[in-house]
Amino acid sequence: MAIAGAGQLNLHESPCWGSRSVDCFEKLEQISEGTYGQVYMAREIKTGEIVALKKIRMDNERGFPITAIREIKILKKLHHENVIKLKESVTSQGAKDEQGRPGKCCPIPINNLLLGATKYSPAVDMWSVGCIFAELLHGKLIFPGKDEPEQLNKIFELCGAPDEVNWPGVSKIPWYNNFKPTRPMKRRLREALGNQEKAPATATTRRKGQTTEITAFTASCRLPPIQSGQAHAQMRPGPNPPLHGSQPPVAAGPGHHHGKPRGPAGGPGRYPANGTNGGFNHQNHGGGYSSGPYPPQGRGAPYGSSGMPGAGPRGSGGSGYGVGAPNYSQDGPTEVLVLDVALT
Amino acid sequence: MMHLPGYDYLKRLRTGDLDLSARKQAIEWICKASAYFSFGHLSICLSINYLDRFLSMYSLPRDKTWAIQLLAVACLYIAAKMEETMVPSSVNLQVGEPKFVFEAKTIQRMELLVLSTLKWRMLVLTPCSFIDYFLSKLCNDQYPSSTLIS
Repeated sequence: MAIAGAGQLNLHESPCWGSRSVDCFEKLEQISEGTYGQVYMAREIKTGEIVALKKIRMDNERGFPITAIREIKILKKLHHENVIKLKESVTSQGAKDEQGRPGKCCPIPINNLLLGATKYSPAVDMWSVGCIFAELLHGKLIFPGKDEPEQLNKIFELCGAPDEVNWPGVSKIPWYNNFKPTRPMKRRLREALGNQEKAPATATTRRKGQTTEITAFTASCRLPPIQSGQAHAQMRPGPNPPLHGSQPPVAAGPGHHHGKPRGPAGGPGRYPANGTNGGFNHQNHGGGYSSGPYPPQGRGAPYGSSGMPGAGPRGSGGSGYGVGAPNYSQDGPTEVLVLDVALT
Repeated sequence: MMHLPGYDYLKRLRTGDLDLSARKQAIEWICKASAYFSFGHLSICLSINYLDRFLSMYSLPRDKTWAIQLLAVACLYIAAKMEETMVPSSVNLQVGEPKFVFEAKTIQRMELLVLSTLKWRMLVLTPCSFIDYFLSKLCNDQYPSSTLIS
């Protein structure tokens, strides 16, 4: 991920910045449906440009979804031809969103959570990263289960069945006994991914190693999150949890670290050495990933049509929030993401 | 510049064009609530950044004294969503006996107003971003122990 050079900076924001409604787009067809909204293929009426329109459901209790906030946060940092560009956020006025069905089976439901654990942790995120890694390597979904039991079974088939040996404490997880496999299953992740030699050999081998470690069953065997420190509050004060075995260098591109003050003296793209420097949970706390500079954009149109939420405490009303996002120079694919923020 | 309050913001606070004491109260509440939920210091810095930027860009109605409290809640809520793992619901965020308590729906609207007024530029470099760097420089490029940081 390169930082845009001065000549590439997009200094001109759309004149209609922050004031557009979803009516500027004509929905063509639904492309997919995710956990928190639907994605449509749509055409911008004025320009005829084809975009992907992602509808974000607003939750009255939770406000603007945290997942969407983080998606925007990350998309704004990523400028790459293979990463979809966030072009604009638009609003739909007064649209009441129907509840969609729960997310289709994707690699995100995690062992721990599928088995009924309720505690979300960095280890859960690392599992997801491992699944995505494996899918990139594999070229398709690695755990294509239709429902949760089937998905768990797919996980067991590939990663081996969890037991007290490879995952101490697993038998205490609520649904373990309901779902534990009836026959022993061996871990064969390395073999399965070994057949997919799409990437250059060295890279493949290295990534395979990472995938294997990331998708290890237990948090303590999994690779540490790269910078979970600033993302996970509860990790901050504690010492680095002990990790077993040596940590391979991670093929993190410069993209993970662009423009940030570097914390400990670990080399680029390398996890901090275990236990010697305060641990990953302190690295660049607050720096780098979450707050590194991204290419500045020019100041847009005057702040116009936003309305103050109406009648005060316990009040309601207000309308016409203009919602916008920068549009980046189009040097990648033509897809763009339009967030449809439904105001309820 | 995109992530800072307007250049005249300090002057406007000093001259009384903006209500300095209201800002102080809002920030005190943010700190109190952050401490209650054990949010990290980056969340506090982000909230205050959002608050100041919003105040410098948007004229809150001065007769509505609840408005800045609503703003403080929305700013802290967004900052927490950016940075924290455990984020309470917007209603439950309102700890510390603030003078006004808002409904989730109202907070949601304010949240969107803040996001759009700040043009969704929520990734901000704050002083916190440099603490680790300078600490490690002060400690011979060794990362200092956590006790030193706290």
